[in-house]
Amino acid sequence: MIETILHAVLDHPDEGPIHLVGANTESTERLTRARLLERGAEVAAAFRSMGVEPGDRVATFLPNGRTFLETMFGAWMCRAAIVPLASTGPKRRGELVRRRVAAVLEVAAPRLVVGTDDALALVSSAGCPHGTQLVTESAIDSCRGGATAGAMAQPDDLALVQFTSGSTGLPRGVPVRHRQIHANVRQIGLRARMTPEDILVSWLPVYHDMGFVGALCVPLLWGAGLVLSSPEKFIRNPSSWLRLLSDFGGTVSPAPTFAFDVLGRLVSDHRLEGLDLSGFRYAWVGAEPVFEGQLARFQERFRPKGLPEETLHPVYGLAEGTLCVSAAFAEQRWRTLSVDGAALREHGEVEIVAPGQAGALVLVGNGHPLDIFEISIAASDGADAGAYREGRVLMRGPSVMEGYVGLDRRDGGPDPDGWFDTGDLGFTHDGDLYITGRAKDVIIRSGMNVAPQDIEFAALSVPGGDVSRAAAFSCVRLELAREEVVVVAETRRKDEAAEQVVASIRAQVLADVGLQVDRVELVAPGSIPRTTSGKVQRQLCRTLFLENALHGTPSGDGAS
Amino acid sequence: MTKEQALALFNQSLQNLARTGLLPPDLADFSASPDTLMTDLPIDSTGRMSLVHEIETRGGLDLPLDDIVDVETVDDFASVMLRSHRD
Repeated sequence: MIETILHAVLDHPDEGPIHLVGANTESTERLTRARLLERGAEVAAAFRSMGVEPGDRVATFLPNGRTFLETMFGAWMCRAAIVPLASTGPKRRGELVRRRVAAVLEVAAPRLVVGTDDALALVSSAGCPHGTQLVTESAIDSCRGGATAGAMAQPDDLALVQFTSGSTGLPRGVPVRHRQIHANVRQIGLRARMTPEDILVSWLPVYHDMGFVGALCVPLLWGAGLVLSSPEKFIRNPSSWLRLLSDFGGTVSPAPTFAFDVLGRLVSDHRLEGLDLSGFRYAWVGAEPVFEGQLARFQERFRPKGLPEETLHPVYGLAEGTLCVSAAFAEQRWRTLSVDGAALREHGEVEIVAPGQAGALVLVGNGHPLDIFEISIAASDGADAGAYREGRVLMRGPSVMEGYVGLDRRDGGPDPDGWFDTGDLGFTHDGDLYITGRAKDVIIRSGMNVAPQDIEFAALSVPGGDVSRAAAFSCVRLELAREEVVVVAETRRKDEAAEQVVASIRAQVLADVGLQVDRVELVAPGSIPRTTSGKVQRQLCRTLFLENALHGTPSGDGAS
Repeated sequence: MTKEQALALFNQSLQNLARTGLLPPDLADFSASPDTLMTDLPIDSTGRMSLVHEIETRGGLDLPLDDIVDVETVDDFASVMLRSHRD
């Protein structure tokens, strides 16, 4: 990856300028790739003097911006891997956050941790692994001179450790090699017909796989321009994303589905005046389920702003595949398929029906699998599910990870034949991949994967020990085109005390996980189904919740 | 618009969003007091975007987004609404 970028920069030093947009200001800073590599070499020299060697890892708790980019190149120029982690402010200091930071650093075992002062204070309080040095953001900024030619990263070198919330609740590090990023990013660009004339606009956090591979590596490899904003800016003012696309002539942009939903629904017209989206030709829409209503609403709202009909492209991917697994070609409009909802839900059968027919469920296609992937749909016994059957989505290819960092390949990695079970349910039709559900427990909201165990831990932490057991899961609300987060909690409290428990659960989950709990269902002790070994059965609990069959309910929001 | 009207608009918006399922349903019967901390409301960043949009739509306001990010209490929020109305 770094070698490819270096050659591209040497051949075309002026291609692909990078514009860094301030989080709290309207200011932008322009950076050329040649300058970025110079700075990377300076940072690499400093890293070497701190003892970083090939094969080491450099973890970051940094916001989107120049320091992150310089650290990334500095690490790669030492043949070290970058481990981007969520930067966190002083507001998020709960026990859960500390535990998670400690667990991630234990797995990542970085030589260096580069971060903001706030983040490094959190790392110190969480417990830093032995031998890990903490490096401040300002130390990176002040690295000057001393750049020497170091060993250039090789294709098999580890480039990235991408942390993801595994279904076990323990953070899992996905090791990604330079050749895997290169293979995936090349395919992403081919599908989108990328050229050096393209300008990619992103506000995605760099610690997110879509933000790192999709928003940084894609333009760097393809020689395209990059306008890098921040999630803080998007949250403050969602229309700032489209404003950047309009002002900088942005042509391509990745974002989670919820961003398109927010812009389609929750931004007032006066904030969109003067937008010109006629150059916006490819949007990667993914990181969470995609509903047709969200796409249609966005298209309808921004058609008058010049948005081309073929811009929105639902995509499917996951960190274990480096990023993208399937995507449509640039010239295709998104495709949908109407199936019988009951046949799919109750029997896993894909019965195609006329759009608008009673009971029809409209599914959005995620395009054809990229050419480097084989996709197989497996029945519950592992055999091929066959045509018109829902099954577990398995993938195989050169950008599929070999196994999680620090774990045996048999512990969640691909099988001996190279097939990786994504944990998602789906089927293929006319070459398009359709995702229909999730066999794994992970909760996806606003593009972020959250382990249900984190939510349950927060629920169990409410003051007074009022909750004895909890189960967290999500339910799709088609009419709202989103997943609702549900917490079922066992408690003996009743009446007003129960209302306080509900409020406490919401507050604790919001504080610790940053997630809004949509529904809290209080049940009597012993009501949450468990396995014989005592593990919470979340899927069964969700089924009972949806059927209003959780017994012993003292109070709560109630099932919808 | 008075401060009381701004507070009423805030609460109506909160309750309406709860009734439509975009905010937690127990907010449907909830009325924030001026002293309620914004961080005590059980809504995340997307919920907050919904709230801003609802208030702007119902009240015909153009809220200064940079000013409302760091407001501490519902009363502070209402003050921003009031300024926006006067502007």
